[in-house]
Amino acid sequence: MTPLRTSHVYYYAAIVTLSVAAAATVGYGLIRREMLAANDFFLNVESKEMLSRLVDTSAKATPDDVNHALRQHAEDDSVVFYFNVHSADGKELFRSHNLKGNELPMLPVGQTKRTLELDGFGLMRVAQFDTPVGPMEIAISLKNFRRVNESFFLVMLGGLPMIALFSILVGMRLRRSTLKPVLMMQATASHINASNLSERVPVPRGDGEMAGLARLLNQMFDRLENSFKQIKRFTADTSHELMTPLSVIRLHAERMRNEPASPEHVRQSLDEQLQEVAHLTETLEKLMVLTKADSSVLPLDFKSSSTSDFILNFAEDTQLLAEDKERRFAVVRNDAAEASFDHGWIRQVLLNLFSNALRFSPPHGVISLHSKCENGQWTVEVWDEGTGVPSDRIGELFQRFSQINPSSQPRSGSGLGLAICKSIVELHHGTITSRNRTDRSGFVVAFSLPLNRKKN
Amino acid sequence: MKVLLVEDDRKLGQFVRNGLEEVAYTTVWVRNCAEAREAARQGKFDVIILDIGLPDGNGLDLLTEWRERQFATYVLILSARHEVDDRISGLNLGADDYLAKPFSFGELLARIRSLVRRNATNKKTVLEHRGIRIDLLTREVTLDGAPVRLTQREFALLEFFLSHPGRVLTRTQIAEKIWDSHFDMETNLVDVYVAKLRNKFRRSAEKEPLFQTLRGVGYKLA
Repeated sequence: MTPLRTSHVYYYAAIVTLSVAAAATVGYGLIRREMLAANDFFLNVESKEMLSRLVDTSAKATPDDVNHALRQHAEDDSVVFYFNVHSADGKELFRSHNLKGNELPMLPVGQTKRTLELDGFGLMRVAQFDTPVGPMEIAISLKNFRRVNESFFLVMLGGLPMIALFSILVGMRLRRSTLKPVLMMQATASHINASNLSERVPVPRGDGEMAGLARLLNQMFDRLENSFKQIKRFTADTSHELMTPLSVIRLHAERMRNEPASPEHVRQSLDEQLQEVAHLTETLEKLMVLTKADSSVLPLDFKSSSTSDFILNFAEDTQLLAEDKERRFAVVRNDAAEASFDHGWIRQVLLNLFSNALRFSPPHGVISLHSKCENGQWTVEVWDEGTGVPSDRIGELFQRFSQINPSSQPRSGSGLGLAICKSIVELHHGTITSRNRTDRSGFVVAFSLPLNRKKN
Repeated sequence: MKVLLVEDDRKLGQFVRNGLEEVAYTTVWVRNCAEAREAARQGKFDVIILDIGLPDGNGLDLLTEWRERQFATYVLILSARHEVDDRISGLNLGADDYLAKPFSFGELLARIRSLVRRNATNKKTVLEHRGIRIDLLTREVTLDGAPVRLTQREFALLEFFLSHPGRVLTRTQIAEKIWDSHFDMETNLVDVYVAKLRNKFRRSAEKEPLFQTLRGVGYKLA
């Protein structure tokens, strides 16, 4: 989420900077136009001065005449203005001293003012006026104008990054203060789970949107807590109501079973009864686990650890269990990576898959375990060499009370084992699948859990 | 030995009380929180067996109350598994042990005996019993002086047995201790491991087997 929120700040800073840049550009254009207009105004005024000195001069005036009429004034204003007069046929009639050897360029017909670069003088504004003797060019240096322009440009060049930086800083600060209540709510909300549902997100002061949002979240948590409590009370009450009478049955049956005076047939029937009690207990406990898992009130203790260590630890026990049942067990592949999961429950899932495989394996059959860590997923597969499952019934496997056991096996499980595995795996944000083997007869059950994301 | 039994179910309470009295434990049986509070105030008990779902309250609240008042008697919680969130939360509240319903009486007795003898556990680093010797520091195991190679789990199991010689260890107690498992393992893992130990410590001419099986309850190091 962080990049998104930070990108908002950059977005904001970019808008501020671009706006300033746009405003500056427009301002620059306006200032430039104003300054040129001011120069043009001076040129116009000056041209009037000069023209007034030329009114009495005829069109046939000699350079001397023009010189006589203009020299004095041209000298007076030579700090600012440059003058050049030509006759109608293009002969130069007058040139102010400050121009030295240079001539002011004649402007093309129809153009009266122009900004141009003149060797030795820099940027000039040249205006052309018609006089009785011919066209007169008056020029004014734009040195100051240029300096102002350059300073403006430099200020903008240095200023814009500063503005960008400043708006990022302000933006970050703004973001932090705006997001603070949201982040606080997020932090609290994210760690509220089945085990601490009574916590609530902090409500910011006032009646703003944030406070409203916080109150809404809290109301939602109230309802959630209530329904969680109901599930918990239901499982607690059900357990109590069923397990207490089961205890009485078990205690009496065991007592009679161990009575030396009990005849053999009584013992046998008591053994049967005890087996049924055990089976009923197991089924009830599994139903309770499923009820809790369904409503996410099952407490899970996520711990990060190495998948290969976990598998090795598990294999140590299964090796022995397999030997005890005269089956073989092999860890074919065991990749190492880090994953976070509840060790007790995932071990229980694996043990369940292994027990199923053991039950369906022929004598001396091999049960193999493949633990792969690829593409951010930890996949564990348990392969057996049994008869497999009819392909049209594979879908039923994870349903509750599904019994797809070989007919030779009487009721051998509760029919809830795989359903529990599915719930546990799903509570870990994982998936569980099954398929028949294609290389030989046999069955494969596989579950995948997300691996920890690598920290770079 | 004096036991306070807090259990609201008439039949269950009766059975447990009678059973305890048969093994000569003086048992006071109360059926709700109020009576339990009163009985605990007046009498001195070695162990309290506490049910959780009581008609006038929750056994866990009673336990919290006792522990807050520094009431130090051993408490064994007796309840259906899902009455407490899990076994841990019962123990977190200050229970010394937990037994899930439906239980066997042998298991209950074994647990009570474990509790009472708990403070007698030794802090020795070398344990010896009938020629078996294990060094907890170097993890060396010998049988009559000859070294025996054990896996980690076998070692832990042997250590558990040697720390409680002559005492019944139930399957669930063993599973809890060695595998830290708080639910039924659905396998005969404990039996398989005990069989392993038996094989490794078998002597040709031994009258009494080392690891005795107690049917339906567990094992005992004789």
